[in-house]
Amino acid sequence: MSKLVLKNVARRYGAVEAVADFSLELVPGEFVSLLGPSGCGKTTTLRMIAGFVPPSAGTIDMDGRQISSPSSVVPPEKRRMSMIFQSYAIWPNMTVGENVGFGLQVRRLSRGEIDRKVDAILDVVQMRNLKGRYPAELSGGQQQRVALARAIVVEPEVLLLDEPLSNLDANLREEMRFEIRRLHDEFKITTVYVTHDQSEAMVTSDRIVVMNKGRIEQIDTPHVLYARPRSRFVAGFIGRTNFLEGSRQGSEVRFDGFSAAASALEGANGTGGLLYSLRPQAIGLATQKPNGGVLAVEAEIAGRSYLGEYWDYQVKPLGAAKPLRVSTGPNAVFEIGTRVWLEIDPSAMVRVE
Amino acid sequence: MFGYAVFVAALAMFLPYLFLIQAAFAKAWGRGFGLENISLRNFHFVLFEHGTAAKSVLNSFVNAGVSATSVVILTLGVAYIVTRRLVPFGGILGFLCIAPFVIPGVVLAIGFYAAYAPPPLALCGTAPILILAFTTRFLPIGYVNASAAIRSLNPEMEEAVCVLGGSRLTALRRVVAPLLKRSLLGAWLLIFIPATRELSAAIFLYGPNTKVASVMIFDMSEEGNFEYLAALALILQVLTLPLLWIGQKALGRDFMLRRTAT
Ligand SMILES: Nc1ncnc2c1ncn2[C@@H]1O[C@H](COP(=O)(O)OP(=O)(O)O)[C@@H](O)[C@H]1O
Ligand SMILES: [Mg+2]
Repeated sequence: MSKLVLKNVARRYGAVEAVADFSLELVPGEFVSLLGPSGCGKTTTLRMIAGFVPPSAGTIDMDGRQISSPSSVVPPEKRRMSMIFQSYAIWPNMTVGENVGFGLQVRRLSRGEIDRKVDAILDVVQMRNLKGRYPAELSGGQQQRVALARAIVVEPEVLLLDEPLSNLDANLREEMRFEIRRLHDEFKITTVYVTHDQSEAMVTSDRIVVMNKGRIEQIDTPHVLYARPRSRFVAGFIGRTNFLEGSRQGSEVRFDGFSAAASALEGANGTGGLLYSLRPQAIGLATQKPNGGVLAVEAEIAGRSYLGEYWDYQVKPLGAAKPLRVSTGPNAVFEIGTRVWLEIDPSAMVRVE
Repeated sequence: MFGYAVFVAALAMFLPYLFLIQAAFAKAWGRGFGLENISLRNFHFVLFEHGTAAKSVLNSFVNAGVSATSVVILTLGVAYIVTRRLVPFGGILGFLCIAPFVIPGVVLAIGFYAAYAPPPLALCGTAPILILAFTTRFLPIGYVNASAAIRSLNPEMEEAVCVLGGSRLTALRRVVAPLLKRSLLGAWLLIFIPATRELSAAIFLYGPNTKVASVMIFDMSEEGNFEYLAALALILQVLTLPLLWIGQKALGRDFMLRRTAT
């Protein structure tokens, strides 16, 4: 049975439709991210799940029981969820130990049991030695760990996180991503994670919900999302890509500077504009004309940048108006102006709307 | 620059104080600063011989204390309700708390007099009417302070309590009150100290048993008893200063609140 079910949930603020027609099911123990640009309705969705915001349409069920609808909302304190806020919301008047033990105290556990659980979870987040400190004496990363410990120690039904890493510096952010995933693997708490950072979502999540302007664009695993984006928005938001506009001419589809057999292309027989996304990594560069199943296009190196982990080339097919972006390994060095061959696998071209 | 600052300070503080102290200890203040002119007679008179002077100081402190406490509690509640939008049209409530600011004390007192003096209330001259008037007068100071303090608290701090299963009352008790105790103590002092000196409303509302120090001082100045007046004023000062000192110590020492999240 599903742990959490959102059915056609919507939320209006006056004329603003913050969230519209949002449907999502989480299986127990799943880690799902809500990913999208700022203002797309991620926080509003999360706060509806937490019970702080009533939906203006639709319902939310947990374990088969309805917890939110426009007419009745189970209050947050009755939901047995945990939430990590963007500000961490660590209480500055309590020590680390008191912060973490608070939820257990509210649940009326015995003194001894609280101590035991608090110590155990502080060990997990490597904060045991700072148990007696006040939050003002902790770094941002340590406060973050306290927030995590405080949320997990109560063994919540669902864990909600709202951009928990956005206040940390880049290095720490990367470390904490893995930390969050590690904690999830250890405790298997059903989790909804809000972020605007695609790599954060990719590292942590089982599935990602890409949102745009209050609506769901696509729900898929990180791999499928990257390899098979369904819309122009998703293709552009997750990683970098080339957008290729094609027009059907007989059995071929003509693109800027080359053409491909319609039979080899996904969805080339459908109606509407033929827009394809082609990842820079999916294009090969060669000095000799390649043979075999791929499309070979003669081109010229128009520009390049070296980024350490890879080369970012701009390569212009002969006769094309715009160059394509191509990523290669750091050892594939081509000078600007060199004639090269592009190897394009038509099956890597994904039709998007 | 420094000289100028000292000059201003001297003009504002030292000179009037010097003469106040001189008068308080003088046998007759016109005779100047000589040693032979010093005595404690004025203090003795004000404290032990005068019929109501000592009592008036006590009255002042009790009234101010009760008023300051009720203002702080009332405004904290209203400011919380308004800031967290717990009721519709909370803004009007907030405005009502600030409104007394534009009413002169005298007018307020006459209003209170008209409202509470006639039967069945017949509160004129009693302590409750003074406390009511003081509470009203200082409501704006309390409200402005309380609402600034609450606005400095991130509501996520209270939401974190709710998510973990605590009620709003738990949030108030365990998080909001401890985090605000410092600003509330500050607001309390900010009300208490001027309330011990309040004259314009008190002068209309006091009765034979509820005369406050400010009214007493005013009476003495009418009678031309500057030595007694100075002694009484000095007693009032000496009694309030330690409060200010305690307050400052308490505020400075609260290291835990150094980084109240905003
Ligand atoms: N309490 C509110 N009142 C009015 N508008 C709101 C409120 N909360 C959110 N919104 C609007 O809803 C939209 C989505 O906001 P939000 O869910 O915070 O986006 P995100 O978290 O993805 O950045 C925004 O346009 C925002 O202005
Ligand atoms: Mg947000």
